[in-house]
Amino acid sequence: MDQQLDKAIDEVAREMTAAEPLSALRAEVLARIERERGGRTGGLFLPRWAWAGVAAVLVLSVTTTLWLTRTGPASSQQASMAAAASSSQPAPAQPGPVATARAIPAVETMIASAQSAAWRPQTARPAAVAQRVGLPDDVGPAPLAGPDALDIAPLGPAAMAIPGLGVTALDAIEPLTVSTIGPGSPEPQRRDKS
Amino acid sequence: MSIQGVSDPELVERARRGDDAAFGMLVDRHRSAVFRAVLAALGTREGADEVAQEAFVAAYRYLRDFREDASFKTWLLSIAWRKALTHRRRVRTFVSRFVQPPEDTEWQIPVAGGSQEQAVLDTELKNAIRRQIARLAPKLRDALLLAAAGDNSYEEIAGMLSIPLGTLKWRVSEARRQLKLKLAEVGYGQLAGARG
Repeated sequence: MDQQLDKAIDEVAREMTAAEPLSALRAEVLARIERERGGRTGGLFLPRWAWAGVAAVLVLSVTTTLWLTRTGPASSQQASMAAAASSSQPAPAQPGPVATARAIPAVETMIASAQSAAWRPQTARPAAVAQRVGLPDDVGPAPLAGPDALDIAPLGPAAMAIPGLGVTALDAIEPLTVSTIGPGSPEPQRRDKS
Repeated sequence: MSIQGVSDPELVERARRGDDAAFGMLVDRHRSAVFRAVLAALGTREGADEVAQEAFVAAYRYLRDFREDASFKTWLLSIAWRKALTHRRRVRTFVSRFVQPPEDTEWQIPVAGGSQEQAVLDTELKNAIRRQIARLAPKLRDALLLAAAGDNSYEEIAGMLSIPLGTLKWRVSEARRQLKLKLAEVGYGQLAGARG
């Protein structure tokens, strides 16, 4: 019976793996090899880590471009406005603290007005208007008169009148006498809180 | 071109030089052994063809890494075995999430001919053996099926499984012993010799 079981086990085990592959196995394998080879040579073959790097570079470049597109014009506009303001401001005749104090509010005012002007809708340029009307190009607005001199009183703290301080002399302190404690001396009295 | 007189190392060398026909000859020569090894691991024909193809393609891809300290067949079978185990693990993980397959559906065996009574007895016994083989530990079952397939020597199977020859022999023997014990429990034969 034992031998019969061994024989039956062998037979069943053999049957469990008794099968033949598809007849087209060789053709399928060679076709897959050919496809793989064609994919490597015909197309852009890169390993996976290289594709990850390419994707990261793409994302970085797109992000940088978007960031530059959004922040670039504003910063360059501010820089040009500040440059224009500094160039149009006449140099102080007498450089000093007062002149600087005068110049700073004026520059700030010009920058503020320039920034607010940047948001206004653009109007027709004088030269274009003159061309439409038929006037020569050199016709333009009359030069503006120079600004009036600003007379600003210097700001500062008002003078403070401080009364003189007087110190009265203190009374003389009498010297303290302390008796020595020893045997036979009266016991010092205790202070009770109650 | 006949492949009878051309040795495996020669075909390998030609395939390394880009001769696809030589590799095709290697495929023809070892297709049955590779397929049966894969079948032993998977237990079903479904997926076995695909895994066998993958094994051959992987072998072609890594042909330059093949060192001739082992035979090409052993090297090829070890690739096929790893592919099959990976597939088996993946399929079981996937299936176990959704379905609990009945054990009897594995390994459909055709019934052999003979007298009707004997055929019924044989079928019952074979079904019982098949169920018990399916319940064996995978290491024991793989060793038993690969040894019983008859395509590969014990040395080749040991190389394929990356285990010592003695370990393989012990696994085959242990698989038989456990099978006999289980069969005795369900009433097949007096198996005093198997209780050792």
